[in-house]
Amino acid sequence: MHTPWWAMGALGALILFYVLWNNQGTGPSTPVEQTPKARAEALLRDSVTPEQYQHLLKYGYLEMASRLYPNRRYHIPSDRRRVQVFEFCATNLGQQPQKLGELCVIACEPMPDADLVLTHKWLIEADEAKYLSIANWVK
Amino acid sequence: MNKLQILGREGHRELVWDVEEVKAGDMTAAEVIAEAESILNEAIARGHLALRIDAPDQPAVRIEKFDATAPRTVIVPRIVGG
Repeated sequence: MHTPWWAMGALGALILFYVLWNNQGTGPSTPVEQTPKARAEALLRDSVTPEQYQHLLKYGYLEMASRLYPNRRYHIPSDRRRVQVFEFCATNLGQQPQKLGELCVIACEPMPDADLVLTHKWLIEADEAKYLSIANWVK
Repeated sequence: MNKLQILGREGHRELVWDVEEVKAGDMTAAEVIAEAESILNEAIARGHLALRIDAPDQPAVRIEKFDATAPRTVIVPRIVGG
């Protein structure tokens, strides 16, 4: 005897409901996006403002203003290139960026690129002076 | 909901709990919080960095002690000059 199609559909809906329900609430969560790269990208998207994320997609780097140096900005690339440091100087043409150098910082554990972007961002925000003291400057 | 997110080789993994459930006497939530605190303390002891994240437009804050009420706590690997 064949199982009716509506019974199969109801069973499928029940399984889907159970899986979704188990992803809610307390405990270790099972991410919907399964690959490390996809999870990292989702975390990045959720951890920056929509404007910052659009800027990252368009230009390939996340721009951050320094909290220690008023005219300084950091460009954190979306790939594994070095963080670039710019200073905006007043010129006849208005404020113009001048590249001060690049910062070479690596994580002691390999991570997906998007997680590395967040690591740079959070560490610069949390303790910029320490981040700069750890980084090797490349002029 | 509150989260501990641990960044690493395989992408982040996370623990999720609700402090309101702990207040209501939910033992499972209390166990998750205890596990999160243990993971955080161990990570800090190994030289990893722990950060509190309140919102995307708020700067991350470095922490040395676990706070179950923080919206997001993140552990990132140690960094060195390249």
